[in-house]
Amino acid sequence: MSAAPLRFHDAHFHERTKVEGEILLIEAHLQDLRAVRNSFLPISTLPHEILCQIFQMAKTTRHGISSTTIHRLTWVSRRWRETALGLSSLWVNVDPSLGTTWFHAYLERSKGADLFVTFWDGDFSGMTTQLLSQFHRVSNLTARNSRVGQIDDSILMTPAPALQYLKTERVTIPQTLFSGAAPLLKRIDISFPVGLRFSALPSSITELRLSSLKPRLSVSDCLENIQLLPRLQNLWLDSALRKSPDNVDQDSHHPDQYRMPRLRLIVLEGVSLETSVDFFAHIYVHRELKTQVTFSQESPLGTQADIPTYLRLISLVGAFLPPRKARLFISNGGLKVSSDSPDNTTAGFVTVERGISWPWLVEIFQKFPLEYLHSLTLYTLRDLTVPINIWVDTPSQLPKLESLEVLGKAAKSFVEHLASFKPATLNCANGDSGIELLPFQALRRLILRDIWKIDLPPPGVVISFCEVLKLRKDLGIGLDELMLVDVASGSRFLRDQFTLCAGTVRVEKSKD
Amino acid sequence: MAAPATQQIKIRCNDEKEFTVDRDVLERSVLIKNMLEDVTEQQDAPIPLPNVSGPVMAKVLEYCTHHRGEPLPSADTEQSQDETRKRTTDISEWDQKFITVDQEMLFEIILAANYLDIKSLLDVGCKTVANMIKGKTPEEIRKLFNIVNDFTPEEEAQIKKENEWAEDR
Repeated sequence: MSAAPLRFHDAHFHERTKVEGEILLIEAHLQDLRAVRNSFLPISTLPHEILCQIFQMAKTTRHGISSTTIHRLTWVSRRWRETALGLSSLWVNVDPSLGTTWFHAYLERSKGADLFVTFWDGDFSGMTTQLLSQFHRVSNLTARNSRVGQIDDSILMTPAPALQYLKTERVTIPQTLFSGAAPLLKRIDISFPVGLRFSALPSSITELRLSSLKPRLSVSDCLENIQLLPRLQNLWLDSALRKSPDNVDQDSHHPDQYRMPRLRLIVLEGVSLETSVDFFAHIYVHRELKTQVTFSQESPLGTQADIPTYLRLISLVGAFLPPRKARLFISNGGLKVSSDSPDNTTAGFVTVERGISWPWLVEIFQKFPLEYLHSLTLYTLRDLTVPINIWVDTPSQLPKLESLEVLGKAAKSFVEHLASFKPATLNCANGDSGIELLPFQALRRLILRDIWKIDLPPPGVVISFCEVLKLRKDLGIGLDELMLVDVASGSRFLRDQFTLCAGTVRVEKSKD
Repeated sequence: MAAPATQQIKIRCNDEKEFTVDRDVLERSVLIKNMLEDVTEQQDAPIPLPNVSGPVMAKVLEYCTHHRGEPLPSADTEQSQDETRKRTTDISEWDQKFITVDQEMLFEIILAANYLDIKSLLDVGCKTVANMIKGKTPEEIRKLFNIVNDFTPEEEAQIKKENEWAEDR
């Protein structure tokens, strides 16, 4: 090997190293200058805590947490990276499916903050040990399997001193969750459980959701087990109940009704009509207890013979419990009975997500305890002729009806019926105001839809109807609100008749 | 005793621009509300707001006027609302139209809302920026806010490596 090239190399080595050093310095200086330039941007005027708030908001999507967004926030600029890495709450949603490296990074970057851990399907064997070492700061745990047994059972047996919320799906429930050491655990959501025993649940829980139990719990077993959870406030049971085998007498409240004064909400879904009646016949529904029953797949009105049972359920769930105000809503999509609590929230809610035929509707209407009804919406029957006696027969039974919304021919027949009480026809002898003869005396809100579109009432009827409304106003039982929707094809004259008929008169064109 | 709703209050911004505004509109700002509660006698002198300019204050007042009468978040509800805020970045239609401004004004509004302590407006501003960020790559975010990449090659390589963990999955 000749020595000349080496000499050449040696001769310039120090020069080159020096220049390279200078380049590095200049590059570092350039990067610093870029950081300084960034500091003069409008977005850089935002203080650290607001940037943190924006990052927190940016990580959420409608479907949960976007880890991609979190990772990208660290790659924008130095300031953003420092902010993101220093914001421990940004890293608390630990998802082992992101892989071991990220799993470790999240655990480290979240520092001492409470963790929200979600296990989906996958092999997490390499992470269980590290997770268990941090289990003291897990506050929310979600474990979902598509196959039973994929998630290491030891996770649900480890003491969890910070755990507040647990959600499992297709997970084997150990005999005692978290070895009985989860003092803060308040909310549990379990679906498709394997080997669930109520005795496994901490007695401190206030909220329990059970769904898709196989086999389902009998009503009597369920009620007895709930007694093991004396602090329970909210209970959701979805496809979790079956009727008790002892075939309880449904015609009366069960003699051993369970009184659970702490309960505030019971929701039943995916349940049969008989089972729901069985359940609520055993529960003492107090004023603060809100109830919901939703029938979707297992429709309660399989036959017309079910209607009395259905009406009995409505009573059992407390829809008529004073001071609640019962509402009946009938649309093409089904039937809803609910009641408004004094705090303006819904209570005693029973819904059928299925259309009801006209004869059944009439029967429900005839058998419904109308004396309790405060609000009625007949949002259907646009093209059906409503027998006028549906109004004639009911007024004396509707002493509390405050709100009525009807459309099409049902609205027309209501207008015709009320018009028949025009002042000239009332027997107002000897200074008698005739007030006692007027129907629907509690009515304060009336909405008529599509009335002119279908079959215009004769002008004389509309004028009489308006006279009745004005008379009611004079007598101090006038409407607070009268709304006419889609009167576009009605005559201006008729619409003008309604002016001064109520406290507020609104005429709108329907959106459809 | 609560002051009548029609009482008018004067404020002065850092550019000497003055506004005379109904008290209930101004009280959307917790800062101003507290200031007014601390003043026992009626004062004619305008309240100085040294951190807000006239044009920004005009926008803030537009927001406060639209939302006047709405309940202010109480200390009790604040914690649960914080949680809700983190979960959703939905913005109402009116608020969206209101906040459709250039970036400089957007950040000025956020700063003003923070200074004046108008939580709901601060939320709208932060949600708007968060929504601008969502779904964008780092390069797109830089372009959006005119940020230049100020990482050293070594830092860039490390971050790239980090993110390969995730992109691979």
